[in-house]
Amino acid sequence: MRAKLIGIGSNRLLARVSDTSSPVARAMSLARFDEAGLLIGLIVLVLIIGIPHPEFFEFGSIKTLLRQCALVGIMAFGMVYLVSMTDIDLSVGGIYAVAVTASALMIKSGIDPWIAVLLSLFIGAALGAFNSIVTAALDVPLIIVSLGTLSVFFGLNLIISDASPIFGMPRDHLFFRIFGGEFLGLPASAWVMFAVGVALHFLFFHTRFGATVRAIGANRAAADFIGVKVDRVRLYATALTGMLCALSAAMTLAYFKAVDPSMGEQKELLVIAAVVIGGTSLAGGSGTILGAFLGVLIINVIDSGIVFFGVDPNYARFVTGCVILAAIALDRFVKRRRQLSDELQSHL
Amino acid sequence: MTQTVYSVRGVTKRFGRQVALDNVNIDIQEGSVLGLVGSNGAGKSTLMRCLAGALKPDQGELVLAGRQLHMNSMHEAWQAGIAFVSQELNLFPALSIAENLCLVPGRRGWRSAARMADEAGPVLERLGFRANLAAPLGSLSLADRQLVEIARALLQNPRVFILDEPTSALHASEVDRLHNILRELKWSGTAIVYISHFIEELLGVSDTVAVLRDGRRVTLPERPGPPPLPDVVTAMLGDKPTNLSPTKGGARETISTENPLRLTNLRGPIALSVDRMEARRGEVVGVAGLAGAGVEELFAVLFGRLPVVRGEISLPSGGRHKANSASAVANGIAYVPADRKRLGLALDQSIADNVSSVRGLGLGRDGFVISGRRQAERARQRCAATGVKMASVGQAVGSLSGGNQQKVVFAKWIEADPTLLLLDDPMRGVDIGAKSELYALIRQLAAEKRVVVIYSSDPADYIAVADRVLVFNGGKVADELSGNQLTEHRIVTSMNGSSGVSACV
Repeated sequence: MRAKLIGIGSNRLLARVSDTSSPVARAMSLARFDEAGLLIGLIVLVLIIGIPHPEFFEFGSIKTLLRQCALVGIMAFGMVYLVSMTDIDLSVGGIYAVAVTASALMIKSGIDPWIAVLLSLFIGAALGAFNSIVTAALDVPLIIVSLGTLSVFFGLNLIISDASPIFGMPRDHLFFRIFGGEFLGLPASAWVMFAVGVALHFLFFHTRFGATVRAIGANRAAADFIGVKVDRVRLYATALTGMLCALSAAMTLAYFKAVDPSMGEQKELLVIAAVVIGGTSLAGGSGTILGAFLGVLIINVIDSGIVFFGVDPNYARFVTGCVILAAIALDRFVKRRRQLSDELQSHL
Repeated sequence: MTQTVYSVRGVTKRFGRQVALDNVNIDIQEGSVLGLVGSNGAGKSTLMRCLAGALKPDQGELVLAGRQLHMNSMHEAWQAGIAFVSQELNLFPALSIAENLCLVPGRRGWRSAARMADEAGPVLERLGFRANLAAPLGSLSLADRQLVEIARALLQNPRVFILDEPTSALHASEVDRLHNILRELKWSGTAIVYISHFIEELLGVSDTVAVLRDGRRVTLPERPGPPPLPDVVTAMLGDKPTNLSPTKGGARETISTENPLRLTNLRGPIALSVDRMEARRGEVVGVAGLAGAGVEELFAVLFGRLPVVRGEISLPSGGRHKANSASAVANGIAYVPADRKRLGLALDQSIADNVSSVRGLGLGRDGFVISGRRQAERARQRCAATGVKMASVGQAVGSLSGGNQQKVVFAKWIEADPTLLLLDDPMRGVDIGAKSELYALIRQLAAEKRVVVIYSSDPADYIAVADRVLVFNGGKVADELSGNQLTEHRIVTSMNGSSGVSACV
């Protein structure tokens, strides 16, 4: 069980762990798992903030942190699939914006919130699929297509919302009470993020779809050669990501019970940053949901730190960037050391 | 009497324990073309890389115009006046043709593209090349790019001009033009080294011929005039026993006439034109041919990567042939590609992932939820059967040796239980020990009632595994060899068979 937990995301590691029998070897392999560097970085960050500001560890601030994480995290889990197959969807923020506005408008026009949210999930999936259809039709990279659709979707959002905020949700409806509230002490959106994370982790590592995504990322030409339909797999992956954007949007709506037309702007950069910090290589083939989750945590912990330390807002963005770079550097440092020791061992 | 301008004296080069060149002596004469011949692994490319400064010989010396050379890089060779045009084009597709002509290894500074175009114009025209020099190189065909690379070398007025397989991408008329240019160049005093698998073509342009075999220079029988083709082939291959087929015993009774691979009046999109070809289950059929002879196209058409223009393909699986690789795989066709790193394997993924990829991902036979443990177990069994030497199936494929990597490629296709195997140069980059294991594996695959079609760049492989060999030339089956006729000598002679060898590409 323990070996399985450690082995998340690394077949190489699974083999290594199953080869080791002594408890010492097991303990050593624990320190060697793929996300070790990230976890260390996160712990360091938490301590840096938490020691001078113990209120950081209070339940209230942890809840706020998790709520913020859920919004980016749900989208980032989808993005792991895309980045793993060397594709990047820049339009996730736009899809999020359209979904949140569309569901709010539908609810306001009297449609039952459950149905409105369900429809918005389809809208999200359709917009994601649209990206892939254009990508396949024009035979250009997804990143280029989504650079265009990013503006198309945000523009669409301004048109349908008339660029003005939307209020007046039926706050007492069960949907708002469940997903805007808490469950077992934690925000409902955090539970949704955990559930989605576990499901997508399973999909990524234990199903044909996930294995195909990883195979395409590892060697697209070789995957195509054995008859994998690369365009179709990308269609599913972008539709999945689009649907997750809409799910994140639904969680936002449930909590705030209002929509601002600027919602979702620059979310794509946060999502991509979280995925990349999480160790998903832009060169494809490697990526884990757990890594993306840690990436999201790191970004949001940094954000909280800036608040706790009362950093001048003019410096906040600069500091955020520097800490992100430091986290990535630490992660690569740990990975490189492990690679070196692997190579050393294989020579012995 | 011509003068020796570049001489190779007692050059030896080892890679680890393997001796690639063993005390080789060659004199390259001013104003003369030296044809360099040898089968794969004979040391041709090692020698060339030594000549062009890309490798340092372990022993011996290189003397250019009486001065001993100590080159550390190709740049230094270019500066000394040694130009090298290799098979792998060293050009930049995104830059214009003129800009590519300016980029010469070892030259510092920058000449304006406009000036370069003025200089390059006459040379390109002599090569019969007409295109706007401001156009990006990427817009040219492979043959035209090769001409640009040759033009770039010629612009340096080299003293020694080395061409490695310069015609493999050229049309017959372009080959003639290139040969005329080489003759002109020769009259103006340049020393030329010409390496080609197209032996007949090489003999047509060379003044002297040097043959390498197993890293040594082999002397040709003394005869007046240029050496005839049979002499060269014999020197290349040596006096090997002719009926050496250790693994082929007892194959006959396994051949079945049911559902063979049958091509009828097949026309491919480029040059392929096969009126009739049949390969039965239980049989290993070799398809030999020089580059552009139609073998690559045959494989691409069978595997659905090129469309069938006309004619019929009936497959051993009985399925309908369609022009995409997904349906080829679904129709029981396996393809071990020549470019193993690009098309055969995902090097960063585990052995288990690779072995189960065709079965699980291409065909979806493992269902939607995949059990990693079952997959690893299957991979372990399959790898044991194909003889992969590994620590565990969780190991990355890239960490295996070439021979073991190739066995993983075989394993992944066998997992899909194919009825037709296309083996495209499967012994490339495989060491001798792994080779004999692969021979046995190929024979066994055929014995299990599969059709095996194999191409190899080393004719010895046909002798070792094939029941018969179809020799392609100009897109057609030009010859069929079996039984006593199946010798390396016959295959090589037959591949070089008709005149006008370099068929259209």
